[in-house]
Amino acid sequence: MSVLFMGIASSCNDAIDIVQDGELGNEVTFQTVADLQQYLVGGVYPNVSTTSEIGFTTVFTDEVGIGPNNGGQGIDLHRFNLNASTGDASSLWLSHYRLINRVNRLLQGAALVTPVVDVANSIDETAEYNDIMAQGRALRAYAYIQLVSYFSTDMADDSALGVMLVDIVPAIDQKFPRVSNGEIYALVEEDLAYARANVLKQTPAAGYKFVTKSMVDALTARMYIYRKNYPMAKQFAQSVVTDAGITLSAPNVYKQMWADGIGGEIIFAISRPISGTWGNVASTWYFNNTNATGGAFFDMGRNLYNLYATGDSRKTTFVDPTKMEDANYLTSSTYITTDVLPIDKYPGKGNQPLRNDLKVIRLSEMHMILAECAAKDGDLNGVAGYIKNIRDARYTSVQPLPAYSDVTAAWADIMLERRKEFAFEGFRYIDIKRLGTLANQSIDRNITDDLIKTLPTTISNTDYRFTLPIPQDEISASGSIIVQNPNY
Amino acid sequence: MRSKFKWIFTLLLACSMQFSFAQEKNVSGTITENGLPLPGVSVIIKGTTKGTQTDMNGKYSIGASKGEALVFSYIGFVTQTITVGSSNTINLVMVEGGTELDVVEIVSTGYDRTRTKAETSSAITTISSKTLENRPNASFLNSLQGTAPGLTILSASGQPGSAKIDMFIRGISSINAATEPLIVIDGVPTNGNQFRNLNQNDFETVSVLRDAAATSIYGNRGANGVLVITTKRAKYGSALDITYDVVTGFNKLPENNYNMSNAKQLLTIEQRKNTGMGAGMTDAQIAAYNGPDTNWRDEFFRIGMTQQHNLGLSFGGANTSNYTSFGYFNQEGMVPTTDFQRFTIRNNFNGKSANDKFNYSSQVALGYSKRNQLSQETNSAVNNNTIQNPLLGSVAGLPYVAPNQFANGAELIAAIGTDFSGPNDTYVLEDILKGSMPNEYSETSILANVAVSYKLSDSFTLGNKSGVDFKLSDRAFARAPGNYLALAVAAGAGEEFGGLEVLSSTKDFTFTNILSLNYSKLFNDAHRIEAGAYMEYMKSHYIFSSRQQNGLNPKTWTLGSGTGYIAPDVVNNSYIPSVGAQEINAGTLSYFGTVDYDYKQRYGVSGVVRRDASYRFVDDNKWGTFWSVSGRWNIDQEAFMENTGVDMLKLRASYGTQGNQNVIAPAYGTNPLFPGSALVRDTNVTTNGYDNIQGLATGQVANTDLIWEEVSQANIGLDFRVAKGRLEGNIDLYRKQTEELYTTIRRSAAVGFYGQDGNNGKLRNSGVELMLRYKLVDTNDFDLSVFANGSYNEGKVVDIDIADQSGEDLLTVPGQLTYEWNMIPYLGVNQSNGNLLFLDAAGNVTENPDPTQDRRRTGKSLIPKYQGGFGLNASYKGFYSDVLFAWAKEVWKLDISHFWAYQLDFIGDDNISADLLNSWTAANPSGLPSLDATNQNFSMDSDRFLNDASFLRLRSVSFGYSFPKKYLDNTFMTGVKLFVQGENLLLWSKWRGFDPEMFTAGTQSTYPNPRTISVGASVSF
Repeated sequence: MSVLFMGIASSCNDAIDIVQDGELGNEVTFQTVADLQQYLVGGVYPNVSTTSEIGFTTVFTDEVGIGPNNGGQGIDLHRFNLNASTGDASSLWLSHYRLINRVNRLLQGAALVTPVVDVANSIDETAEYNDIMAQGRALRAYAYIQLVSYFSTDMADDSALGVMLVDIVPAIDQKFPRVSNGEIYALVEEDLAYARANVLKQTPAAGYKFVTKSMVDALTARMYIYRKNYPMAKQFAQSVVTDAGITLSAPNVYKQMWADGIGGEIIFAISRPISGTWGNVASTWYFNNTNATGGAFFDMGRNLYNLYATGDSRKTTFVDPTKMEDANYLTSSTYITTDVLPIDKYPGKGNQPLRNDLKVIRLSEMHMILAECAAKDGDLNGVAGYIKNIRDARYTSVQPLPAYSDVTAAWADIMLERRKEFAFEGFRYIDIKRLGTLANQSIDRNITDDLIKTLPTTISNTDYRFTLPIPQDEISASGSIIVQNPNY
Repeated sequence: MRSKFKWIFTLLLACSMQFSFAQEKNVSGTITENGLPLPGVSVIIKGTTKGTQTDMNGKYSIGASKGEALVFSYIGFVTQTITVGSSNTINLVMVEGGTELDVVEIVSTGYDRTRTKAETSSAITTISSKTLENRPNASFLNSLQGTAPGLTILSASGQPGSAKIDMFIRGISSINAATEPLIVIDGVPTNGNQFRNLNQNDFETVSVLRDAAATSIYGNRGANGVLVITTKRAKYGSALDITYDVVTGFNKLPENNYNMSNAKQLLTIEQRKNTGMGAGMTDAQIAAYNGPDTNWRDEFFRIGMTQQHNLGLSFGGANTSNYTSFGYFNQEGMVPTTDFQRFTIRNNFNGKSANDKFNYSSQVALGYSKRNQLSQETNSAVNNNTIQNPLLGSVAGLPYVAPNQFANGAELIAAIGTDFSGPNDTYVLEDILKGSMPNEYSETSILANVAVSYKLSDSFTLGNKSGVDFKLSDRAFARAPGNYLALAVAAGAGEEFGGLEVLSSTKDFTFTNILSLNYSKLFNDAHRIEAGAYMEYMKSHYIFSSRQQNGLNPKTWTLGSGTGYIAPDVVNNSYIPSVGAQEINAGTLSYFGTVDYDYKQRYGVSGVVRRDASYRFVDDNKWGTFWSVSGRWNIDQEAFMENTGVDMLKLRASYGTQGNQNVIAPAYGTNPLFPGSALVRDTNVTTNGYDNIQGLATGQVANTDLIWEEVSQANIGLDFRVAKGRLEGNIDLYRKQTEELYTTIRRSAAVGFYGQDGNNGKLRNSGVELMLRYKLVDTNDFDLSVFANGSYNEGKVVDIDIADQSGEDLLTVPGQLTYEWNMIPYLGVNQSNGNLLFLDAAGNVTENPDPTQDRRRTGKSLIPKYQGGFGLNASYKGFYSDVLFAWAKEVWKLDISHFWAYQLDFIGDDNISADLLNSWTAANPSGLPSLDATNQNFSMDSDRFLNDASFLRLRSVSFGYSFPKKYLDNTFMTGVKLFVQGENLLLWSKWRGFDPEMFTAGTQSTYPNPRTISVGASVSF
């Protein structure tokens, strides 16, 4: 009998020592440079996204109005209710820190891998290895620039409080304080410099859906203009304009570019292919399709629509032809359903009516950065020239050179052009934050952008809500180690 | 482990050496009634589980020692106790007149250990088959509501055959982990929490085990309490008995109380709000309106029919006995596309050797069921979807549009495109309810076990029990090609053929083996020692696969046949099918021992120690040790209690611990052992990466500290029976503490996520339970007893590491109620502008509260504080009536549907409550906000719709007539019973929705419990 017991007892551990079939542990994940490349495309790139920025910015600022099918979606935020529990703030914070975490894991994994150098067979993986890290670090820099711009009170002030500096794979229960912007920028500059020196793809033509040297330079220009470091911004923007090998897209190319048919003036876009499980950017505003009956719970803000003149290709590119214009929208009681301006900047593709690549950096942004640098120097003609460049590209005919009475008018025109050009790309909120006082502008909604016409259509451009709150989710985890932004 | 096992044996041997053996002899005799032998009489040695039954000739034989008492009992006869003297023969004449109560009630305390009721030291309530038989509920759990103190049963869906039944014992002892009690069927612990394929007519008893003394033997799985089910078995030496039961019933959707508008009322509200069809209409036009006035409830629901047939056959020979049953159950849903059908077969066989040394038994239950259900049942995402949820659609449908305007999806899409505004969503729902989204499930199940035992000696018994629990579930779901949604999706994607079909299959298999060695001995006629050593091995396997075809040809497509599949078009990424599969293996291993000591049935002490290992944890956390000690004092056995009229008075106390390894609450109806099968390991995955390039990604980030949730529980109880058995009952006081609470550990976004499952915190449930039964009338013709049970439970969070929950609806904050509502106080309407008024954190009245900072504790919890049941059993000359009420009090839920009925933004698009006719205007000061109120969306941050979900429901009532035997003397029948029965007939509640009962925080439109009336007959031969 005891033999029976023992026999059973020793064979019973199969019930408790179980590793599930198909599990991949850390030790076998990073073994070769090819593994790193696989992690780069599988673990890192899929976490790059601007969807949270687009969703938040369009609803909070003046890019959308309530659509005909709104059943309460986003209304609180649209009415300027922004607090630590706001979902967009939470997802924006998390999505970029997740990307940072994945890049850090890539770098940690890379430390375990030695690139094969086999001179006899002329194999050298070193450049490929460095390129993988360069792409990762460029994306980490991008994540930090986005975080600082939304969560720091003043991204132009290196001593202002920034965000959490995480450049390691943290322990599961590790917590991080916020550090100064200067400390964040130091890491960003280091990452960008490394990326510039080691990235293999040079120009958008080599693959604009991946990190290229042009993308790194453009990102550097964006970082410096956000920091109001005009000389450096100008230097990098100029080098992109010179070296990227692309030009501002003419109207027909521009339209195809938004439908993902052609690269056009894109410097960097996040790929969202038709097949596979990828985010649908237009579901920010629609349930089903990007047209008037596609279940639009938001449509284009009336004031923004009014800014697009006839002949401006952006009017026809950004608004779906099924639009319904109500001439009496200001006085109509049914304007929500009779004045419908369906957003079509992301027209969908194939059998994915709500999905498009997320355009992150385009050449027009470099021209606008150069315009800002000119405005800073008081070069009003220079500003006019850069803005004319863009308008010429957006119209089929050559546009007049703008004339400005003073520098405030120039700043205002920069903001106006940025508003028209970058609508629904997640720039407007940051633009008002950093340029609003220079141009004396803020959120500019039409009264018909809400269900109720008597609600406020703007908030001051110095309002505390132009800095996002540190999300409640982060505060719950990190407690007093993390400092909340003022007034939240 | 092996050495530990040996150690237990050594201990057992050591125990037996120290005492001299009492002299056991063979006692036999014949039991008669009116001069005829009486078979099937139970003969038990008092204070033990040792017993036998009389055979066909009324004869019995049992080994007993001098001084031991033999208890003879049989239903309908007076129980008699006779002490073994010097004679080896005890003959007895049984006398009619005893009632059920006099039978020595055997209580199952787990692992086939049984005790007489007087000798248990644990808090156990046993529910008999009488409570369960012929109730028109697919799951027996629904029939248990209100029958036992401390047992909470809340069903979240009235879908026929639904798995959505929440059950807990003595409050919620966990936050994220499974809170369902363990269910043990015929001695084999199951992993199930869904029992649609079990026929409750086969159940003999259901015991509810509540305190540590009772549950610690289940160690790693007993933390949430245990239900022990024993199925019917035939007695040795009994004549063939055939029973046939038939029941037919009708189900009806209960009403909601939202006071939804009719056409004219809605037009009036729309006119005032200046939106929808009523916008611009004059009062006269509205008064003259004579268009459609549709009650969508009548369109979307029906009265469903329930039928059940049960045939039971039992007989027993000298050394074998057999019980066989066949059951058929069919229930139509209240929604026409839903139903449930079940076939069950059970065979319970017992056999023994002529010398009683070898015993064996097998219980085999086979089940096959098929059901059609709403996709809402398993997809909570459509709860708030007027297109796919008829519960919501029937409430929100506009009354001024006519039903049946569109013959099919094609006509509908031609008319409305993809615009769901106004009445269009209701039309789409109408199209779906024509059956164009079939969702068909079938379940094949085998629940079987074989047990053998052999008496090695008079004291030692070696036993083994092996059980198999197998469920095969198949699902066929489709969006038929002609369905509106199919056409709409196809049109949006520019595809010619719409529709999709999903075929999936789940296999869930568990093997359990329990090896046991038991010892029982009486020393010096006074000391009885019983001990047991056990090993339990369990292994579970889960295999899932699914296939989805996109694009169906309406010409040939039929559900599940594989016809009409459109070939993939890779170029346009159209009609690409998808496949998926999953496999999980899980298991546990346990060693445990029990010791019971009894002194003259007056004092008793019991102990359990159990070592458990689970596949879920690693390293030092893999093994856990759980234990309990308990004691009792049968005060009625003391000399000073003689002649006090007290039949039974027993004081019990216990303390012990149990573990919970099921650290993730499973979805309804799924095996709790499977979720979280790799939480302790870092895992990476191969994946379709960026730009559809194959890549590697981070999957699970490990929490290697993961450990058992541990529940410790102290219990003091008193059992009593006084006044010649007229009044009986028990009282229990308990405190149950959960340590290493499994919940979400908040993580910094720096690690890539905000929350990770882990051990964090402590909970405490304390409460009182009371159960009473009183025989008001007890005569030959007329019996009437009333009963009531009730419990009070307060669940509190003792400790949890959560920095700030100020923005949360439900709090889990140390020192406060578990799941306490945290809402902004709603004050009413600002009489100057019709907006809503709230109280901010500083105590100021505001129209614009901060949804994070202005919330405060409400003192109201989601978990009922008081609950119970009461009722009566009456019989008069063959007529009988049983009534059962169930109730719960101090339970609060957020009524989201109520908010929607008042949602101003829905006006013009959906139907809303006619209450809004009385909305505030300057001319009509009112307690309802103005139709133009601008801040109503704060309602759901406030306590405005935090409604009292207390209820009292007439859970079940039955009335019947049993024909007296004399009328049947010349027929082939031995018994005939006719009855009428009702379930959920009456409900008293302040709750305005369909059903206050579901255990969800915010109740949206979920399928309510039906009201059922049924008639039936039971015939035995």
